[in-house]
Amino acid sequence: MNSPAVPITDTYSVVAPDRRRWSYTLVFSVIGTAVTAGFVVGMVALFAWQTLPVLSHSGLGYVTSNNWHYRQQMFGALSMIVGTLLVSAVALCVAAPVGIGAAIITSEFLPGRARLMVKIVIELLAGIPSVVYGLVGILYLRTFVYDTFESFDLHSGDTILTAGLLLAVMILPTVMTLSDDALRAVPALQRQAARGLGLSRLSAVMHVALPQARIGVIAAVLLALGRALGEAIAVFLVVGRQDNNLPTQPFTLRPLLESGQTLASKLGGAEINIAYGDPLHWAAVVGLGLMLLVMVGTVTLLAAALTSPKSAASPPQPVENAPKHARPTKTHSTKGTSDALLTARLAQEPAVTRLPKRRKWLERFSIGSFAACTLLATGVMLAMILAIFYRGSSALSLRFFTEQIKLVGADGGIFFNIIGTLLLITTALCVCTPIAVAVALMQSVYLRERAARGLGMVLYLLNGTPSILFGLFGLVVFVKFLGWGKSWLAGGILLGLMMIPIVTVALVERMKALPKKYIEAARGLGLSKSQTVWSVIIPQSRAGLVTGSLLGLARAAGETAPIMFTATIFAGAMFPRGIVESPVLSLPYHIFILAQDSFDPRVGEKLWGTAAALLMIVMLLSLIALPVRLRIHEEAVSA
Amino acid sequence: MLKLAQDSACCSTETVSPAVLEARGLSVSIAGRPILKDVNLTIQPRQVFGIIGPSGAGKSTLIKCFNRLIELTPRAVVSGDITFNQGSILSGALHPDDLRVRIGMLFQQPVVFPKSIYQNVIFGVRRLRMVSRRALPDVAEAALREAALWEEVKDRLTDSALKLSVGQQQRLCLARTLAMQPEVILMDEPTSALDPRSTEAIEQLMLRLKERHTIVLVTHNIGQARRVCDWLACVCVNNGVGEVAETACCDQMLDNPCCQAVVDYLKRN
Amino acid sequence: MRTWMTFGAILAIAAPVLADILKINGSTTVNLPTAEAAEILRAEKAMTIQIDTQGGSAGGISALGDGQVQIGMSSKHITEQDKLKYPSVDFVETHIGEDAVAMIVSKDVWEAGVRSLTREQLADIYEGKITNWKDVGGADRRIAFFNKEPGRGTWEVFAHFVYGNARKAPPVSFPEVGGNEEARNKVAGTRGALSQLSSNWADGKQVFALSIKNDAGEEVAPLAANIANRKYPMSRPLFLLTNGAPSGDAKVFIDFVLSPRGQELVRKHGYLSLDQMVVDGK
Repeated sequence: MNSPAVPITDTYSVVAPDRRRWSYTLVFSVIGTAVTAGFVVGMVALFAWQTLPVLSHSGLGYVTSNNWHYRQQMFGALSMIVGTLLVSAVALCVAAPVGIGAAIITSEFLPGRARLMVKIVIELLAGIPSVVYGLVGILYLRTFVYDTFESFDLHSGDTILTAGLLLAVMILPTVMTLSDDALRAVPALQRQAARGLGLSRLSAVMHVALPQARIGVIAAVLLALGRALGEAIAVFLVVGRQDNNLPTQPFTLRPLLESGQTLASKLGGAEINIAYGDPLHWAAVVGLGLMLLVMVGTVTLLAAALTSPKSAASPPQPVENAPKHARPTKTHSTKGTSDALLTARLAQEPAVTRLPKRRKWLERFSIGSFAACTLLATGVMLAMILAIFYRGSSALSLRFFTEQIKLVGADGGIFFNIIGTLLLITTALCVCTPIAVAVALMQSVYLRERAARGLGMVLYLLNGTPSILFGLFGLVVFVKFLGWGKSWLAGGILLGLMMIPIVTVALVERMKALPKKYIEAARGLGLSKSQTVWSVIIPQSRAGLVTGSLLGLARAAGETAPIMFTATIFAGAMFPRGIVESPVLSLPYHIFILAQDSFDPRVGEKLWGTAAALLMIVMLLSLIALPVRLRIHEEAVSA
Repeated sequence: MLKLAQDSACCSTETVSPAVLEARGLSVSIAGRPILKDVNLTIQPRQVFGIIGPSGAGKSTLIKCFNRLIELTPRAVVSGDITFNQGSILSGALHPDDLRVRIGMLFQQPVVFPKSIYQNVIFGVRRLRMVSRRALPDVAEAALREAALWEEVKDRLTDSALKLSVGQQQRLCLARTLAMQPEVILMDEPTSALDPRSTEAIEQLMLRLKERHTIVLVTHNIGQARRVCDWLACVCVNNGVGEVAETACCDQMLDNPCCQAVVDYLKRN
Repeated sequence: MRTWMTFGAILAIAAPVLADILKINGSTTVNLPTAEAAEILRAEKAMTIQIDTQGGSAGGISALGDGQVQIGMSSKHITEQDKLKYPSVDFVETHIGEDAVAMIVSKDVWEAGVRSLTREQLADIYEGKITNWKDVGGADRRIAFFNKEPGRGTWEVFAHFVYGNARKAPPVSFPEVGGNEEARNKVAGTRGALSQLSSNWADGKQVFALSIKNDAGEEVAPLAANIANRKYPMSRPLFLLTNGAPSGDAKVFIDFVLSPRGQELVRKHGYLSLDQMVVDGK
């Protein structure tokens, strides 16, 4: 078998490796990052610039006065600011305890498999489009609120409370999954040590795991708050849209039971169309967007600052009740005398009572209520999905998917809506992928810590930017300034920009998890940085690219707000034949319009059918991403 | 089959007082795989009882049975019985959390909470409301003295415990356990992560602590066993399952083991 | 930004070659017959017609003014203000039918015996001076008024009737409704509800159309006959708007809507066709 020793000869020749002076990879990365950062800065600058006229017209009254009557050229946005805060406060008050309670159950009490099941359900639900939430809100939640609070003599079921509750359900998955992640990140040894001291399971969670996870949990709540502040479509459908209705009875339930208006719901409404062309009115409307951006930006950046590694590594604060033990020991004794002292002390003062006091009922009650939170969260969400498929099932037929709309939505199918949505998200993917790869490389390969953190902040900000603001930006830039009118490309670009943070973060996570030895091995062979990037880093982190893209696409597919002003119309568009003035139909916009305007009972069926179809697309995308995500989760746990 | 060695003559004088911990026919399996089979042990009060044996034989599993921490491991099944002061701990008469108050534990890696030194020491007594709030500083001082850490940390009690060296952290963990005044302290290779000096400090502590406490020590360091243990049990693998091959007083076991598996084990070390 | 602009400019030059699309936007009321007409023309003449209903009539007017569409759908007249806003646009109204705006109420109000309101009562309700149905002959229940969104033709008709001129309507604060289905849905689901709505959406099962009591004390219901002879005060013309006289595809489209088949569609959706107006109106 053994071949004779092969003489070492030059069987092939090598040439000196090709070394470029500067790297295309770096250029690519810089361009992608510049586009992303430029977009964020550009959006803020654009909004600020376009807001100027109203500031010179109304001055401070723009934010402090409560009179928005555009016909009279009065623009006071106070009631919308208050409305936004109230709606978000309701959402947070419901979603934070329920979400954290549920996260405690999933992370601490459920066995691995059950936890995974709950997590899958919750992550699927996180992808439900906001327009579908709105639809459910119109049909079920409005009536529920109206009937429940009948004794308060409500004007209608469209209240701040309704919008808040709807938002609570919408942000619940965010609170829950991120809190769960934060709790899981606390090492198991810490819990074991606490249990070893005799703490009950719940006390170990409450006194060890939860305090250590608190920064992550707070960040989760803040991110959810950011989403609540900026949600336009779902709130639009149930908040009542009553301008200038400032609460008169604070400290009662009353303000919550009135109709109202939020910054985002105003931006989702008809005034956008009316305002354009009148510089003052337009400035007032864009100013609402600017205010929203500032509010959401503050909250998201706060969350980002909290979770940045710098603050996480900071030492714990001095303890609250420090011992009064400043007194020096009486004798600088030798070991022996110290022991004698100790023995004496222990003999004199039996300070420790033998067995701890336990409050079993409290513990059972707490665990019970946390479990109830979990059931509530998963139950509500599953019920929603089932309701949509149940009501939509009668519309789902082959015809429904292959025909175009007829009779203003009452007949025919949604073929071109599906085509439109697919075209939009494909475009979004093409726009997003190169940029996201470029930004991810910039963040994990090229930038050092401080700058990488700065770029991370930009991504955070982009991720938190309410989708309605992408729509507003697109309206100004693509529809009007570039003169594209409504165009599928504008919609695709906007959705692509929206996806960037999701894809980038997923990529960066994988890149960070990549063992150093691979990179060292490649560099050890003499590969340059950029060659290492393309031969090791990107191939090894493609799982992140795939999952991030799928999740981003799931979100993009369901978005209404960015495309309603820029890319889609209700009827008549087919395959686009150009770019300018080439709108498409889409599923979410179809639902949004039919939810407000349907003249025929048959529309109802089609409406739910469309919602079911949209949900199928979104859930399919999330489900494809699921196996890879679970594997990543498992790797993270075992590592 | 292994021949189980019984107490030999040289040790018999010490077996007069009633056992603190006793395992009878204890078997453990995890996820359907048997880990320990038919373990019988008797642990006398106020001594250091060592458990030695090759890696993976189930020493840590065994020691976790004594305070029922094994039940935190998913799909762990325990059969047989363990008595603590003649009462069964598996029967349910004593809640496992209360059991763990009386049987403290020290882990391989020191596990300090990311809090101040002071908060770490009083963590258990405070959370379980075992002493009045006013007494907490005294409890902390006593516990830190007992763990021979007081002199090193008395001026920086409010510093983060994470700033301590690993050896100090392990003594802090010991102080945290001592503050609860447990009768038994389980130590699962407490010095395996420590440097020789810290190891020596912990060993010194064990010798002092056994005046007031019973210590069950898992160690893979024969030298350590010889230095601190009074009694030893050797857990060996037989047909893939851990069994107690031999129990004897320290010198007897190390110098003159009866069982072939123990002989082999000692020879390899 | 510069890259995008260049890119956009190239596309802007390239695209018009391809564009022979008829685009329509505006009032949801006009949309119903228009959309169906578009479906027929798409099938029969292979025309490409895109229809949207963003912003109601005002949306239609501004979309036409901006040159985004060739036809605007409106259920109100072009005003001087519109002309001032788009000085270069020559708005031409093509009358395709007539619709009445009804004050619609929920079932409980109807069953409590409220059948009509006067103009003064409407003004008082709108200004918040009357807030309870018992003041206008109904049960003791709060009036849940849903105001039609500004910019909607329906609202303009209402304001024109109550205040003589939409610009004289005082600023008020009510929950607003947009599309017709939304208005009907909310009125149907709310006790004591009142809103302005195109009369043919009042189905008489869930929502009911009130009559308007005129100065002579006569209750005039929003029925075809009353609308045609202008006795019912809140009616409005339905328009297709163009920039200049209709031409090209827009002309084909408008001609079709004015043809007997198109007018049949107008009637089908509950509005009055032009011949009904002429014949009955005389």
